[in-house]
Amino acid sequence: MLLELKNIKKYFPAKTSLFGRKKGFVRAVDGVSLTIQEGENLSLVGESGSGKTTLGRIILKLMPCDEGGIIFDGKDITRLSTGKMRPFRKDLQMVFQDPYNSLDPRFTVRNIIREAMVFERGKRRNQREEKIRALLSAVNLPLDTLNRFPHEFSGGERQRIAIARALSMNPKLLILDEAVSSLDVLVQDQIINLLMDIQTKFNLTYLFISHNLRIVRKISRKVGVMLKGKIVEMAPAEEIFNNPLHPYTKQLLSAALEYKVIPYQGDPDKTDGSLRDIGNGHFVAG
Amino acid sequence: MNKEGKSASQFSIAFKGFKRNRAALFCGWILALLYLAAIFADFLSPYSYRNEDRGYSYCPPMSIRIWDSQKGLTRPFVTGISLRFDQFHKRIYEPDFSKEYPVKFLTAGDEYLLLGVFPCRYHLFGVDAPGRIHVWGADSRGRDLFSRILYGSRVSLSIGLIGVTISFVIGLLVGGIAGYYGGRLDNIVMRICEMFMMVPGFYLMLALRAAFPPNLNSLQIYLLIVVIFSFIGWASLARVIRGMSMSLREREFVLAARAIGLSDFSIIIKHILPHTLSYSIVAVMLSIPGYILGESALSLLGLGIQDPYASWGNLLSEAMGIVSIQFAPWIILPGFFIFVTVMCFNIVGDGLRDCLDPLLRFEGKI
Ligand SMILES: Nc1ncnc2c1ncn2[C@@H]1O[C@H](COP(=O)(O)OP(=O)(O)O)[C@@H](O)[C@H]1O
Ligand SMILES: [Mg+2]
Repeated sequence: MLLELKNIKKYFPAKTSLFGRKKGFVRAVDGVSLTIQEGENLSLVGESGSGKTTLGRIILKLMPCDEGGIIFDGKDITRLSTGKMRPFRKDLQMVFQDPYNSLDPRFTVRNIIREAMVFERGKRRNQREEKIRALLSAVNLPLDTLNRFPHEFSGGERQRIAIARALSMNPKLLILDEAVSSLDVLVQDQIINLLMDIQTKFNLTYLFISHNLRIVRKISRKVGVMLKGKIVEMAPAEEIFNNPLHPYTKQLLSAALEYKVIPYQGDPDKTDGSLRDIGNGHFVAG
Repeated sequence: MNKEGKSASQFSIAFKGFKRNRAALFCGWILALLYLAAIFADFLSPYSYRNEDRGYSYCPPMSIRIWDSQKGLTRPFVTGISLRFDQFHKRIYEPDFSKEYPVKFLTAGDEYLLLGVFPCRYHLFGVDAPGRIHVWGADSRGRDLFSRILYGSRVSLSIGLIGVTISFVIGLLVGGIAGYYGGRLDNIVMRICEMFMMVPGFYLMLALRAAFPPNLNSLQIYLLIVVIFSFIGWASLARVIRGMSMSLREREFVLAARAIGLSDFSIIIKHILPHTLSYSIVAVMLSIPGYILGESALSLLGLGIQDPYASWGNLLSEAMGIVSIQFAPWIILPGFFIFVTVMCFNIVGDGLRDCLDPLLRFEGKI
């Protein structure tokens, strides 16, 4: 088991009223449990605001969760301090949503990638340089990009740089938060193909986050459908696409095929967060 | 990629815009000249700041002549002066053509340490004793105003830079840390900032100066003024930087750096503060005049640099009486230098803002 989440909850204080009184909470993540096996890519889908990003950041410990447990590679990392967390950092990496925002505009590509290698002790300068070059060619970028700055690249190229940065730490789990959502369809496919190419080479497992079911079809073995902080359906990818059970999943599916988004009218709060076992590894709420 | 095949950071692209701003570039050169002159003040000036000759009290600016009534065209020289008093006991200086002192270049004079290390006696120009050369006149004690303005520029120009550097570093660090961590720490730090900003700077400066013993030597006073200025100056910068830092910490490249496992401190130094530079460079440029004026004001009131040491402020304090201005108008020359310097810093600051503005917007701050 690579990653296990146990009943993760994260509530944000909602907007305060004029006099500073708190008016309830936003339940960004509301009792999510899931497991990821090594090599078994999981996709999380759900409309925007359903808590996918928050969940991803909680796994990376970029923000603390209010409740629940994160077990990574057999170790409980839920309450580790910044210093104790450091050895796990290299195993857990993320490619962020906005390629125009996730690369420091003042750093050259070389420095962006090299920064991720600071904790690799005992490597000589030319060894690092060699590794940087190897990473660049792994993500299909020409070597002359090394001395250039992020603003000189297109979205797709930037996302490749971000992937190279994440790969430089040899992570076991790579979280891709809407990593292709901002790209156009053709580039999306290129990046997805790239990700599938490098998966075996770098021994990766993906947690792929997207609001679009169509994108995740190729890359995921399992799909979890998130709605308002809860997982409402979790099944192998083929099951989700051939036999969607939860009405929200059906909506997402039709939206993905028709390229439009229909907000779900129902309320997931009626369920208690537990999933019914349908068979075929297929679970659904309610 | 640009033509040279070398990639330019956005910063250097923005800086090219600065070069197109003629006024700002010109003022930048003036400032560079002033600072160069300050560094080589002891070489450029014919006398040391304390070299006095009471016989030349309030001697008006001398003209350097190249025409001798008998010999015709000669090498440049200054004449001696003769002093008489008119019926109001006012000093009247007249050129005494019987004495001619040729202006010599690279001539030996008062000893000094070039760049603070090399003992040296040579000055760019001067005349042999007993003649004296006062191109911009002399003050009440017969000290050369040109030399004293040059020496004074060392204090006046450096105090702004050093003061601004210290408050800049404090402001950046405090603002960066407060914004990055947020919460209680941020709250406390910002209240402290507001306390500093509430008190009008000049009164705070006077109060702080009063808190220290009056009989300090000039080096101590110099350091004291620097400390006082930095003490006042950091707060406003810290507040703005804190706001930027707060929005920057949410940016994904900062999250990425945290995911890599960089320490908070190196994230602040490497990923937060560099992005506030375009703002803070402008802020710093525009705040240097405040320091220069502040030092001048303190010294003018006699609370700053003390005689015989020179600063533009205490040179001006001689010009406080209307009588001395009327009889020796050249002693307000230091005021002209203050004016020019302050104006240049403002224009350069504005120019920098204009060219860094797109960058500022690009970085989505303020
Ligand atoms: N830092 C935050 N402070 C307050 N509310 C937040 C914060 N981050 C996210 N939220 C809220 O949590 C909910 C889930 O957001 P997010 O995880 O970004 O969703 P998704 O990535 O699925 O679009 C949203 O309602 C959002 O407004
Ligand atoms: Mg999101």
